[in-house]
Amino acid sequence: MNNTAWIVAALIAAFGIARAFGTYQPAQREGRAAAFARAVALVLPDALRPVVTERVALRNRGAALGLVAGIATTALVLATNDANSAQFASPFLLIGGAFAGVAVGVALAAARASAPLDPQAVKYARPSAVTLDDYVAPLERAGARIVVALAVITVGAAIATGAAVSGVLIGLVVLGVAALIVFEVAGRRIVGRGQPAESPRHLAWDDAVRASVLRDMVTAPIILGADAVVVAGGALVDHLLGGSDLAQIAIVVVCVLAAAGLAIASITSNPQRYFLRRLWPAGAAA
Amino acid sequence: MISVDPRSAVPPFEQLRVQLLEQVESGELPAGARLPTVRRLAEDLGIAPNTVARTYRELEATGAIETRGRHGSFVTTGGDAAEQQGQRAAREFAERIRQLKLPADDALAWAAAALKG
Repeated sequence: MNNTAWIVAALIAAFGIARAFGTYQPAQREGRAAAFARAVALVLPDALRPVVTERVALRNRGAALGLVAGIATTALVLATNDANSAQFASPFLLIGGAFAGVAVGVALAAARASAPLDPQAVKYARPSAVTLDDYVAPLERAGARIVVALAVITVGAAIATGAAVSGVLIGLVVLGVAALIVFEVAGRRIVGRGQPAESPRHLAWDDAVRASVLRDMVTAPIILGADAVVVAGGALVDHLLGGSDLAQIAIVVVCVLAAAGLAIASITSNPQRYFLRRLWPAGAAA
Repeated sequence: MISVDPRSAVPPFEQLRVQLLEQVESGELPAGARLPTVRRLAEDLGIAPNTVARTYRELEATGAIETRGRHGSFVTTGGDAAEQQGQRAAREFAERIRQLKLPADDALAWAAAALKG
């Protein structure tokens, strides 16, 4: 791993630590909760403010600490890896490690989240079962599967043709597959957990936080898979075309354009409010 | 949305049964909709799993829902519209007989006589 990569890793880790500390600052907690409310288009009533602010802070802390852990672990792996073979793949693995860390962090934070309710209060529940599809848009869920499958196929093709496949690249693919499995398994567990709520709006807020956690989790396999496709594609082209720089640049450009297209399609579909359209088509009640 | 008020004089079982039945009949819970698991709904509403299980059994007996093994409980998929309306009318009739605390056998005999007449 070169010096630039080390500096970038250190900066990302510092950002993560600052974000984690921020989740203990009342002003930042309030600000993040308000920003989250705007993003998901839900009104945050005073009665729910403490609960929601705590849930959002817990989720953000999990993401920040996961980011730091992901970056630190990846940097450690890269530092102990063969520098030459990992040179091209290093930035991709760092990015993938960061997103994987965030996914693990938010999942652990979601597992810890619990808010005791007044046993004498009226409790509300949804009368129909919910699934992962109610929280994560099909584009993102299918996208994760397709990208990871592409990564496995590309790396398989690189190995089959005798292209240079580094341990780092194998690690990217393994991490991508693991992240996808973790999302599908842990995601189902998160969706299956109870949602005790004292009002329909309370339930809507729980849905909102839950959806954001699941979206963070599904992002990891997409990023790791895309990284693996780019790195393995580069190795494959390098091997087949004899180290043509133009071909390598072309494959990176194609992959970046594909990722940008996916990102634009995802953003324009307003995925952070997908759960509202799916679970609250008539709007979240007061 | 369904709710259970622990301070209500109406037992949680009855609160849950009436609301689920109303939602099935109104179509708010459409045919084929999957209900939450017993454990999940009990956790959400802060009531005993046995209460939810008893409610599901009761609704299954009236034909409002059906259990498909490990796949869970679903709102009954009726046949054509007329058949669905007939089933709804039968459930309403059963509900009224239950409220009036009349014997089920007598109610069946009256229904049979009414249909023949």
